[in-house]
Amino acid sequence: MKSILSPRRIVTYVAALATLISLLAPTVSAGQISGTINGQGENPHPRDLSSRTRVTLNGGKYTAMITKDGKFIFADVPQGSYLLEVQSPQYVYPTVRVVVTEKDPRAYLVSYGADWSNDNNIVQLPLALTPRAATEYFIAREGFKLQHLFANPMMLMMGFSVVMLFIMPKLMANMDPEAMEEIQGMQESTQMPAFEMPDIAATLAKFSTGNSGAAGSAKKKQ
Amino acid sequence: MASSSSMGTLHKATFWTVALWAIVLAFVANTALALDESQAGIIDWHHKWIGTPFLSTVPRTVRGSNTVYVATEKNTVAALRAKSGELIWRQVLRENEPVHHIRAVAGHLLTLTGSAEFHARLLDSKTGQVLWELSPAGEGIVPGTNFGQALTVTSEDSNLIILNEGAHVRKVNAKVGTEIWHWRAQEGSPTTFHSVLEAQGFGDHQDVIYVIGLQRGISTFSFEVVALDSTTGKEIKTFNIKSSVESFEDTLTVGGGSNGKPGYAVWLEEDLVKILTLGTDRVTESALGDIVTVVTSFEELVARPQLVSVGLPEGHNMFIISGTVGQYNDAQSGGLFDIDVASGEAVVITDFGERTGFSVYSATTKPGTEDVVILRSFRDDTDTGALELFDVTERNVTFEKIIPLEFDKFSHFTFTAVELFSRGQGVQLRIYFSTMDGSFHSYSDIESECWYREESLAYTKDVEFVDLPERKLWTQDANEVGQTEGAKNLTIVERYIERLALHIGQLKGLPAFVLSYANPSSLFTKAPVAIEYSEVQIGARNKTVQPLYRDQFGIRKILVFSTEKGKVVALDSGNKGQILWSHYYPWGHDIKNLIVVRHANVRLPPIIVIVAETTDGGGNKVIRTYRLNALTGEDYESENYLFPASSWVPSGHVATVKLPLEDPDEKTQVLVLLDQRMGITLYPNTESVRETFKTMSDDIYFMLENKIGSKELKGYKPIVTADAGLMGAEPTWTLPFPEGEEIATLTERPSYEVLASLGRVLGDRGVLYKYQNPNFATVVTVNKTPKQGTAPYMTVYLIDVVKGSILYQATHENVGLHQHILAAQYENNVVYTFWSEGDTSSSAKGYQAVALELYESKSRNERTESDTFSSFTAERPYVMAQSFPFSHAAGAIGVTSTKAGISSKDILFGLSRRSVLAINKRYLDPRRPMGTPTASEKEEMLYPYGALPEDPRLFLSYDLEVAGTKRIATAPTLLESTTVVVAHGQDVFVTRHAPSKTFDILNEDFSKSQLMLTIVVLGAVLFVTAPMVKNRMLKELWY
Repeated sequence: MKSILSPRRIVTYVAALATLISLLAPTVSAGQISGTINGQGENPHPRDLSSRTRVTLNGGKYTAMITKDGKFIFADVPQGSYLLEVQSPQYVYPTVRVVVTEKDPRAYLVSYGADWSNDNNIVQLPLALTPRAATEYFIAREGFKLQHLFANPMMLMMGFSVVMLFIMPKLMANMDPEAMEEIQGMQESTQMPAFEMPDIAATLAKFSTGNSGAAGSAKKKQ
Repeated sequence: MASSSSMGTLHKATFWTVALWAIVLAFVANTALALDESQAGIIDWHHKWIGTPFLSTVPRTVRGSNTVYVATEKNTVAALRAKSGELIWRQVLRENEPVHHIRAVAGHLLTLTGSAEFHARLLDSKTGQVLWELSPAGEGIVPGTNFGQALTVTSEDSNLIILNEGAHVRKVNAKVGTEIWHWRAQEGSPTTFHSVLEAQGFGDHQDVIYVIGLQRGISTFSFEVVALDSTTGKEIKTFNIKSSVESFEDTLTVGGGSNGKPGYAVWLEEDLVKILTLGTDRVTESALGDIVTVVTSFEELVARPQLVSVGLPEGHNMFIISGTVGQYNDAQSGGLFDIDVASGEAVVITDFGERTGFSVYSATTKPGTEDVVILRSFRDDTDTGALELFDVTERNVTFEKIIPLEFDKFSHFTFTAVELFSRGQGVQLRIYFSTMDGSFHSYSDIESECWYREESLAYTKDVEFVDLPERKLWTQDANEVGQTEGAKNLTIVERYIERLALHIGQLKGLPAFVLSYANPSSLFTKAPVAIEYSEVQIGARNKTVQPLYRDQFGIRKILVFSTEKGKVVALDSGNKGQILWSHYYPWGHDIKNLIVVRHANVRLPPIIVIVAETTDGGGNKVIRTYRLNALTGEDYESENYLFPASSWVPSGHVATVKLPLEDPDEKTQVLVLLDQRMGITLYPNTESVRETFKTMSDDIYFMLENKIGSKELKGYKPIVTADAGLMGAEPTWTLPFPEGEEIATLTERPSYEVLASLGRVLGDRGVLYKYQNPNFATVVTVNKTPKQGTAPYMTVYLIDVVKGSILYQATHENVGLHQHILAAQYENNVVYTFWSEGDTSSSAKGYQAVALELYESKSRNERTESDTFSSFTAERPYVMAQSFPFSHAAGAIGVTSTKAGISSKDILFGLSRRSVLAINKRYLDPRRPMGTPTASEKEEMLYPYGALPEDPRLFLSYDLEVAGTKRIATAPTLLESTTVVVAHGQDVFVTRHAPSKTFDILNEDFSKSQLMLTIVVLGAVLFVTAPMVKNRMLKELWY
């Protein structure tokens, strides 16, 4: 009976011993980091921040939760320099480098991958962090709209040619022959350099001249 | 000369294929990938699990509470809706932050958590937000134990008394969390305190808080009780009680709860039950032998009984003594005891009697009274569990209920909680319980309020994808191959006629099919809306599972999870993860592998094999294997005796290797089980399989000792005796790491990976040929002692598994060991991440992701002059490496996999911010130019060097809270573009992802209505212009 229980007893002993050691261990000089974070928009209030929000030091070596009024505290961190980040599903917060010393803790704004020797962007302690931006997870998809349909280049081209089909003959009919010839001359001269690549503009132009030619011939017969 | 010209043509051919793919991918991979809002919840689903509760509390009200608060083994505190089991909120704490106590205080929830640090927090009942937090600096818990934290509420001012680290007692204002006073045990004291209680004072002292602890003696512990003044925290008196206690588990603290009621410490000492009245030196004792004469069910006691706390609030003196009885140690009996206030002695209230299995007790009071009822829960049969409610005032079992509780799914009770409340005229009962498989249940008198959560899924270890069979194969071909009785004796012509008849029969579905396409409303339908569901629904009982068939693109699969609890759970990936089947393997089955050995075939169902390690009756390790039909979860019995549904190997498990070999009888893939005696067992173990294995055994190599923390690697190959009777493994190489280094992580290329192109096309049309060795592994070791820097360093090795040679090695100084080190390997690439502490105090700290790319040669257009790749040549790869700052803390890594490997790869990260992130390989490319890109680099479309993108649109899980991701698995679908992603650990998140966008199906953005409108407009224009043209032509002819 006793042999069954003895491993447990050992654990209890180890625990008691460990307490002893932990109580006797010299305390390493340490500091605390605290601050507040807030949301964004009209009348931001920390209570609107997600309960998932966490503040981390050095990529998760230490983690703090935020209270309903936006406060966070790392009660006990050893001296050294730390990267402080806010993990929030709602907002993007600036990253801060915090130097914990016994007397004079300091904090600087830093950006990812940049060197830490630049001490220009000092921020006040305790930290008061406001978001850089709200987090956007989605791309906006454009739904079906009639104006999109007609803003389509294909549709524009088609619409233009249909319109030309109707208007050109009437336009030509009302024009005096001299101006006609002038325009034709201009069209021929602009057509000249277009042989390198058959681009869309050129094809369209050809298309319209073909039309006008047909209209012209019809007029002659009259 | 001839050879060089042939090489030239080869180069050309390769160049063009590679170039073609590069062009295709350049088109598709150029735009940023992201979800749009309407897709969220449609293509993905997410199960929020909390783990198995071991503590629960309800805001006690007479009318019954709507919420039940639980704390789980997964370090999660959650609020569940009492009637439905749905999650209201949860707080997932750190991995090293276990929950010690939870208690409903003033309508909110107080939690005591922590290990290295200690936190007392009051959580908002509605949202789980922290109302206040008390985290005393420099305090943690007593290392290695689960006691030393305690909590009680004072009666006169409703403030909290919190004990921590077995030494610190604080009175804390419950409203705002400020410290009123702090008492700490003498430094270096040999006493660890484990309990605090407000109870009747002594002498002039009315408001007294007792702190109860165990003082370490020579071989046992003795009680030390400190009385503190409740208002000032001043120490009044210390009682040292002569006693000898063996362990903390032998003690209980009962009674108290106000300054009028006496408190007691109860403990077992030798064969005595002793009771100390707090505030005095009075100790009473009763012999266990005397108790047995009263509690007759203890007659067959096989071991010393234990003290069981019933979990009543302060003020109640009741406790239970429970013991194992019966010839086969398979039953338990228990007795309920009270303490007589006048004499301070234990009084027997009742004998609970002997019941099979484990009994779990919990207690509550009747609504509006202090009358205690005690619930005893136990398993009474393989399919049912039993609940017995004992009313202490009536001295009678007032309620008995047999509930369905299948043993092979849930096993025994581990934790119960009971709540009684009044509804209308009557009293309503609600019972919450956890079972051994990890799941959490609720029983209620009202059937619609019974629910269960499959919380075993919070402990997933591994996932295997099972492809579903095609519908038409199952219906018609099963007939044709003679599966059904009637179809057996048919001639070919008759079968043809039957098939024809079948097709004609199917024609009747044609009108509906055509209509479904012609229906104009289908053109303008809105996108599907995400259906609301809860984790409770996905595991709802008594629902029928329809036969499953593959969808058009093979995206729907069965996900079979193995869990740390020993349960296997199959989910339907297409239906919000509905549970299809589950099976619990009891008594310490450690599931090592889960392997699909046969995919769905024309007439054969898919088979999954479970390889587990367990112990036999004699305490020896054995390997057990089970064959299941993956569609139903039933044991797959074969007519062939060589294919048993379950089998075993009498030795511990070392490794399971899946061979590229199929047995001719059952068409299953062959597994090699390697046991601790270095013996090899083939699975299935038939004559023909043994013969084939013997012939191929020369070409098999594998790596062992590949555990995290080990200090060397070993390579093995199988040896087979001439008659293939005995098989074993012998070491071929050993690779010890330098002193102080141990493995932090290791990874190998996934076996199912397909390489689509041999090389990488450069801007100048040259080709770098990929290093295609399938047998190299990546091993990352860490050394805690700094080499040159100030922090530990890590070394990355690429190792050829066949001959044990190091192909590449790199060391990173100043690495953080508190943060995860991750590595993934795919094609000719390796990606790993780690935390960099920086070389000097002014250098930046942060995560780094390193990308390695392995090529056959440093120079372009140069290949190894060999048709086949051999590990035994001296060739070493040319490795390009580059590190990138990475702004996220990741705990899991995965790589997308597609059917033909043509789509570009995305590296998937499970982040500590509880999201799943996808980063394209183009960002993790060591060729990204450092300066301004040159013309040829621009042509290659390389991004200039920079940190990895932080864009939240790269989160596959958008704003979902995907907690505790440990692994990310991917599986190809029939669409080359699309891969199924499963992120699991605590939560299960499943989505489909197209790293190169969906180039093989119409985009979601494609507007069917726009296409239709264009056609209609064109038709209308034709209709209008046709007569005009006709008219004109007529005119032309006329004039």
